[in-house]
Amino acid sequence: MASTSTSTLSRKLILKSSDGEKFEVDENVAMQSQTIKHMIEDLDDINSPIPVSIVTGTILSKVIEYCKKHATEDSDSDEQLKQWDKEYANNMDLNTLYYLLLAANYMEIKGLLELITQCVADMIKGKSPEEIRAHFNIKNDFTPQEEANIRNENPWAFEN
Amino acid sequence: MELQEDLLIEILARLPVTSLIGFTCVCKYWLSLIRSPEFATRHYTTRINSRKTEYDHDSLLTRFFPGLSFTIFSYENLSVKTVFKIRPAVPEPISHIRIGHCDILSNFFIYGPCNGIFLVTLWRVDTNDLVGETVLLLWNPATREVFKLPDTEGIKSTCAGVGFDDITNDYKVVIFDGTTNSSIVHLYSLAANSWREVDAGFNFGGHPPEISVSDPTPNGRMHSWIILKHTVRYDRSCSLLSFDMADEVFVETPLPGETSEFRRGFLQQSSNNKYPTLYNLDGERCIRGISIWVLKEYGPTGYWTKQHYISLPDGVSLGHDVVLWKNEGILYINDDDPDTMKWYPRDEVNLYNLRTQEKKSLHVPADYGYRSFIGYTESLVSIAKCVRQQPLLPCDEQPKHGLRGVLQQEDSSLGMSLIPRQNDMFSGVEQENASLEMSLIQQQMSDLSLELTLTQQQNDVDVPGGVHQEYYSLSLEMAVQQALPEGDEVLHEDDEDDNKSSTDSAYFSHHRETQDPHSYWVDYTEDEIKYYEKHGEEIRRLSKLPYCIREVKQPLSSKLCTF
Repeated sequence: MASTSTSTLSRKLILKSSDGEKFEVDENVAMQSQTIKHMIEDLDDINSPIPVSIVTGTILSKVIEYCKKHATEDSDSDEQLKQWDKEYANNMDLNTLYYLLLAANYMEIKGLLELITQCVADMIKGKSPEEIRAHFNIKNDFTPQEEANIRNENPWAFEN
Repeated sequence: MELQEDLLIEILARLPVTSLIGFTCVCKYWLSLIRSPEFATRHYTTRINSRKTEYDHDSLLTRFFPGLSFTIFSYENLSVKTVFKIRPAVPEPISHIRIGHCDILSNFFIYGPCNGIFLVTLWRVDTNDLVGETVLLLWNPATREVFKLPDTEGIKSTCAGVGFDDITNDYKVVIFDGTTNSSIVHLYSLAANSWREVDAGFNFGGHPPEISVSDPTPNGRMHSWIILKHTVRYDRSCSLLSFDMADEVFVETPLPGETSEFRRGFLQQSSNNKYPTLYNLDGERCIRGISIWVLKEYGPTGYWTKQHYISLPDGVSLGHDVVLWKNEGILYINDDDPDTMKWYPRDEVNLYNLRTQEKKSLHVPADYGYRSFIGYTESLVSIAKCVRQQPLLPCDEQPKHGLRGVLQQEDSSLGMSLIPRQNDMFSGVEQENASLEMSLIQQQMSDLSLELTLTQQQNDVDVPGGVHQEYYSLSLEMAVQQALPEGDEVLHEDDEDDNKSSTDSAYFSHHRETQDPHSYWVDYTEDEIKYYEKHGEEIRRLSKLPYCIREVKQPLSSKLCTF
C-alpha cells in the first residue's frame, strides 16, 4: 500500500464497528464522515480505535467502500462517479439500504445519505399504500371510511 | 424497516407529488406530514436542488389555445403524464359542436409558475357575445388544485404575473394594463384573498409585455416580463420589467447588449438559479441559433452572463418557447410554416438532438395554434391553505350569471385538515342560489333538442368590415362521432378526431371598446361565417355553462372549482 509518511492525508485511522470489527482507513477517507471528523478533533491519540457504535462490520465495510471511492479525487469524471454510485446502490437489498441509511445519518456522510435516500425513494415511488405499510412496518390507523374519504379526494393518485 | 422522522422526511422529499398524494392514506402520521406546509416547502426545495443541471426540470407543460388544453410531460422520459382541458363543469353536454374555444371567446394565458403554482387568465363571453368576465385562476397542476380569484369586474388588464412575497409569506398576483400611461397596478394577495390598487412607480405606456416568467426558487419574489420600450418609432429595444412582490414596485433591468434589439425570445426558469434565463433567438426570419443568458442581478445595474450558444441547422423551425433537455437536446413545437402562413398548422412537439443533430417527433397530441412550453418543478403547495383571511361577502351580492361570482374551492387541496373548510365562507342564500342555477342549467341541457335549428341568424352576426370592428377567431370542430361517454375522452381519440374532423373557424365581431389587446384578428372566409351562423345558438348555450379545468380520463369531481 502506497503511503507517504509526510502527508497528513495519509495518516491511518482505525474504525471499530459495533460488533468489534476493526477497519484501518486513510484519514481522508474517514474524514468524509462529519461525525468521525469531530471525534478526531477531540481525540488525543489517533492510534486508538474509533468506535462507530451503531454500525455493524458488514455495513461499515460498505460505508468505507463508498468513502474510499469518493476520497480519491480527479480519478473519475462526475459522470463515472455517478455511474459508480448507481451501481453501488443498486446492488443493495432493502435491508442493507436501511442500515446504510442509518449509518450514513449517524456518521453524517452527506453524499451517501443523499444517494441512499434517493435510491429508497425511487424504490417506493410506484408502490401502493399497502406495500408501503409492509415495507416500513406501518400500522394502518385509519378506519375504512376515513381511508376511502382520502382516496376519494384525489382518485387520480391511486390509479396504479 | 422503521424510520426516524428526519430520515423519513429525507426520503419522502424526493418523491414525485403523485406518489406523495397516494401515500397520504398510509397512516395518520404520513397524512399530516405530507399535508403540512413545512413539508411542501422542504419537498419543493429538495426537488429543485436535486436537478442535475441548472436547466433541468421535473415536468414540462404545454398550453394550446384553441383546444383549451394543457399537456404535462415527464421531463425525465418525455412521456405524457396528464392532459387537462378547460371544459364544462357539468356532465358533458351533448352537442353537435365539439367544444373548441367557443365557450371562452378570447385568448387564455398562463403565467408563472411560482413554486409550482400557475396563474391562468381567461376571458369569458358574455350574453351578447362580447368579452365579459376576466377569470383569474391559481392552479397547481400537480395536486389538481384550482383556486378562483375574486372577481375583477371593471378592472382592465392586459398583463399579469404571479410571485411569492417572502417577507409576508404570501402569494401575490399582479395585473395591469400595459397599454396605458398609468403606473397603477392591481395587486391580489392570496393571504387576504382580496385585490387592491398599488402605484408601482412605472409607466408602461404602449405595448403589453407578452413574455413572462416567475423566479424559480422557493423564495423568488419577482415576476418578470420582456417589454418593448418603443420610445422611438421603429425602435425595437427591449428591457426586462420585473415586479417585486414584496416591495410592490417595478424594477427595470437592461437586457444583454447583444439582445437589446430583441426580436424573438423568451424567458424560462432555470431550476437552481435564483434568476430567470433568457433564450434569445438569433436571426430574423430563419432562426440560426439560440443564445442563453442568465440574469445575475435585478435593477439598472443588473447584468447577464451568456451561458451557451446553440447553433441550429435549417429545418429546425422554432416557434414560441423551447426547453433545453438534459444538456442533450432542445424541445420545441414546430413553428407555423413561414411560406404558406397556414393559419392552424398541425403542430408537433419535437426533440432536436444537439449531438446527433437529428430531430424526432415525440408523437404528442399537440394541439394547433397558440401555445406555450414551460419547464417547471412540481410542488405540493396548497393554494387554499395560504388564505389566512376569509372574505366577507355582502348578503346582497348574488351570483349574477350561472355560477359566476361563486367562489367554489376545490377541496382536493392538500392540508385542508389544518384549515377551516372553505365552504363556511358562503352564506346559505348563495349556496342555494348557486345550486338553483346549476339545476336550471341542467334542466336547460336536458330540454335541448339534439337537432340544431339551422337558421341564419343575421341579426346576431355583424358582417365584418366595419371600421370599429375587429374579429376574434373562433375555431369550431364538427363532431364526427357521438359525444363520448363521460370520462372516456382519450388522447389518441382526440388525435383521430382532429384528423377526421373538418376544422372550421368562425369569427365573432367585436366592438373596439371591448376589444381585448390579447386578441388577434385574421381574415375570415365565407364558410367560417356560415358556420357561425349555423351554430350560433349552440355556441351561446355552451358559453353560458360553468367551466372547470378537468383532467382527461378522470370523472368530474363533486368539489370542482368552476368559473
